[in-house]
Amino acid sequence: MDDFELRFLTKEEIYVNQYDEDETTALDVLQKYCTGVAARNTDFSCLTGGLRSGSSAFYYLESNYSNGRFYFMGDYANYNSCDQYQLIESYKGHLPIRPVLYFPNRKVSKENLNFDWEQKIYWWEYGEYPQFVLDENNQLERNIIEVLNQKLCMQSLDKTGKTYCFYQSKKNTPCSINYVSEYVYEGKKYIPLVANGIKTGALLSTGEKIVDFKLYWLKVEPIVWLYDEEKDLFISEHALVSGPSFDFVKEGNGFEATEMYEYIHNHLKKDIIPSQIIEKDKSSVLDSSEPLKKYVYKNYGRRG
Amino acid sequence: MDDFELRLLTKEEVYIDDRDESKTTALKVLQKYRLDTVKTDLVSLTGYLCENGTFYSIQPDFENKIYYYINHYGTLNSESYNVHFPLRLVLKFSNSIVDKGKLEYDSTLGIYKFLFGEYPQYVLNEDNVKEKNIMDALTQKLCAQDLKKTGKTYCFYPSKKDTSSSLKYEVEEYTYGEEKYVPFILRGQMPFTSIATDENIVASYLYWLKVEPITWLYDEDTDLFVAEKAFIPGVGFDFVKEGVGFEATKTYEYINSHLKQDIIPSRIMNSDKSSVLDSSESLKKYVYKQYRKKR
Repeated sequence: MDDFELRFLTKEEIYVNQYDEDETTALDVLQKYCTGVAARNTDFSCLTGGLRSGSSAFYYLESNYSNGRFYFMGDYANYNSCDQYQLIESYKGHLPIRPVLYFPNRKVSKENLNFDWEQKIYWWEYGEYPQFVLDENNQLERNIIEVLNQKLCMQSLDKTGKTYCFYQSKKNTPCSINYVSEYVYEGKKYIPLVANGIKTGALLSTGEKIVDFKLYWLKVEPIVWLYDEEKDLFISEHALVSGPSFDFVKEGNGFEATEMYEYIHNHLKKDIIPSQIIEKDKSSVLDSSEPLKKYVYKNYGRRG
Repeated sequence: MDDFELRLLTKEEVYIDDRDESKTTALKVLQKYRLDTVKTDLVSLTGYLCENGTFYSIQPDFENKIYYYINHYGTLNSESYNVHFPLRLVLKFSNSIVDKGKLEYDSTLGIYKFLFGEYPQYVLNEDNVKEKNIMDALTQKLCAQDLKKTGKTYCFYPSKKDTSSSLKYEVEEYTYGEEKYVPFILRGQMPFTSIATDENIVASYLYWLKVEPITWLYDEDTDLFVAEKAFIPGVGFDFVKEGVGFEATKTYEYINSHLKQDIIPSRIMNSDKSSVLDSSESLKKYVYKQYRKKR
């Protein structure tokens, strides 16, 4: 799984002109997809600082780093831009990442993809990542939370050996790099995450506000990608994670010199590769025979 | 460490007659200190509801099915049904090893205080920068399962709002920076009652309780030590084995199977050895050492 690349969407790939279809340059798959170019944050993205307003997430687009402008998708799927100062002041310096996945050296065979007949798009599960929290209002999930909490307090949970890297801001301090271990319980993978100084006002999928110092358990779930046939690209259904900045961390003034580039290439690319566990229980995984729309609606309905 | 016993106060040891002093049988130290006391954060976190002060159980009269307790005004009360109030323990050494020289005299109250054993008591406060930094470090290490265990575990019986029963809760003690801590996460939805940091208790919040020395009030007449605070969550007086007396109850079993061991300090390797009770050393020596350290 090391022959893929990750990048941001470009301004052109999300541009929709409601009044003139001919001017619309958005990727075909995003035009067909039920939420259009809008995406929503995963809970992991919110807990790492992602903003959510209305039903869709802010997320970064490819930027022109030489002129210091940062482009991003705003709420209500509006294209926006700002400078470094505004980025820090208005958006706490870090917006979510909605990655685009592509394979530079090979063409993906559609035989391996799932087709949604209603939306007429291909989609794919590739890799996995911590996404949504266990919901304490759901009796079944609450029972799992209790066991996980108890085992964590005893330090007796089984590790998969994998850690996830993320940037999280703490009260009155800049974002700092953090690592969290992945654990396995009854064949499913989880990570513990303690909210720490997240002041974005974002709501979690459970409808709750983020509470400082509350311990959340995030389920590690397959990443769903929407396939654009024309460009041979996969666009993550959700904005997956927030936190890294565009600060320059090495010589140069291009994207390659930024913290974001380093994070995507040195961490995110590795972090989406699943850890190996024995007797993996696949029952929690999206059934590949189920249409994507149904899955998305189910998720949206469940997540509010 | 079988050279001490733990028990509850008896009705006679707390009885105060406001109108006729000659009928008062309460321990002298309690007459001076007052009968009401406070609970620790651990007691709040394990489900005890009282907002101000605390109620605490004393020895019931099983023959007449009377469950006595002291309320937050320091008044003796009773119920005819089993109560789960916190416990305020009494400590008695089998040999009188303590002389007044080792006790700390509280000149305001005119009583002697004594430090013996330790137990998780108060939560770290996130509004205090130093404590917040410790919380962050502890939390990060716990999430990576990378905290150093002392090898000791504590056993509590937190109440659960959605069930009438109490479930056993075992938690590891960890050491960090030469201090000892235990993590506590509330199970499910819990009552909202204040803790020392003036915050409401939040479900799933990761609390860190500091393990601290237990303060005992010394009663000179009887050579008894009464815990200054109600620091043990109540477990009720259900009968768990044959018999009809206190010895057959869950509280008795909890005190003797768990608390007697749980209050003995764990050994911290390569760090602060002075606070550690070496099993080879005598209790008397330990008592001296504890007292000197805290002075």
